Amino acid sequence: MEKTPEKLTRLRDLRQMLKLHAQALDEQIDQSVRELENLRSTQTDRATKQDPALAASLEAECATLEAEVGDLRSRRSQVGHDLSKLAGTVERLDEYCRAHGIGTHPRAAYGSGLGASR
Amino acid sequence: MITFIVPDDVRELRLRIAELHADISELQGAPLSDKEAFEKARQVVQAHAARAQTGRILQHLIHGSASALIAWPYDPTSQEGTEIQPSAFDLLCAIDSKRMHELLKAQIKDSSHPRGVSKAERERRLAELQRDLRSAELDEEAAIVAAERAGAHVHRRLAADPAIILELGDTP
Repeated sequence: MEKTPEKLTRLRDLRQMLKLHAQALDEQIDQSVRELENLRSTQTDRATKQDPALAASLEAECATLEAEVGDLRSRRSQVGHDLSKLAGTVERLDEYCRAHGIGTHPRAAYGSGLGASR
Repeated sequence: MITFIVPDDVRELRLRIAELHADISELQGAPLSDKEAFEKARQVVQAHAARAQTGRILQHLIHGSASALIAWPYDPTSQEGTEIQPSAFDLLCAIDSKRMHELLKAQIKDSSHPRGVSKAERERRLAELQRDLRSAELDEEAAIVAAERAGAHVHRRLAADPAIILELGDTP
C-alpha cells in the first residue's frame, strides 16, 4: 500500500487547526456574551441608574462589547464556512485514497487513538 | 488567523475550466450529423417494430376466431383493464421496416434543423477539449501549490480531480 500522500496529510492537519480555531472562537464568543450579560445586569442596578456618568460609561462598554461579539460571530461564521469546504475536500481525497488503496484510512486511526479528526 | 483566498491566477484558470466544461457539454449535446440520425432512425424503427406484437396479429389472422378484433394482452398495472396495443407507428415499423426507415431518412434530409458535425469530428474535438481541460486543471493545482508555498490557503474546487490534487502521477 502506498503511503498517505503528503498533501492529504497537510490538508488534514489544516482541517484540525481550523477546528481548534473554531473552538477557540466559540469560547471567546461565550465569554464575551457572558461579560455583556454581566454589564447589562449592572446597568439595571438602582445605584447605576442614579449615577449618569457611570451609566454612560457602562453604555459605551456595552456597545464596544456588542461590536466585538458581532465581529467574533462573523469570523466564526467564516471559519465554519472554510471548515466545511476544507472538510469536503479532505473527505473526497480520503474517499479517493480508500478506493485506490492508498495510505491509511482515517477511520482506522479512531480506535488506535491516533487523533484522527471527525 | 487562517484565511483562505483565491489568487488571481487561480481565479482566471477557474474561469477557463468553467468555459471548457461548458464547451464539452455543448458539444456532447450538439445535434447529430445526418449519418448518425439515419442510424438512429434505423434503431427507432427496430425498437418500435419489436413492440408491434406481430406474432399475436398473425395468430389471430391464421387461426379461427369469433371476433374480427385482435385480443391484446391487458396491462396488469391498470385498474380499468386497459389493453396493451401497438401504436400505428409500431405497426408500420413492423410491417414495412425498410420503407419506414426510408421515409424517416427523407424526413431527416428535408429537415431544416441545424446539423452537427460528424461523429469522428465531434470525438476529435471532444478529446481536444478534454486535453485542454486536464491541462487547465493541472495548471490550477500548480497555482494553488505555489500560493500555499507562499503561505496562503486556497480552497480546492468541489469538482477538482483528486488524482490531480494529490499529484499521483497519471499526468501527461
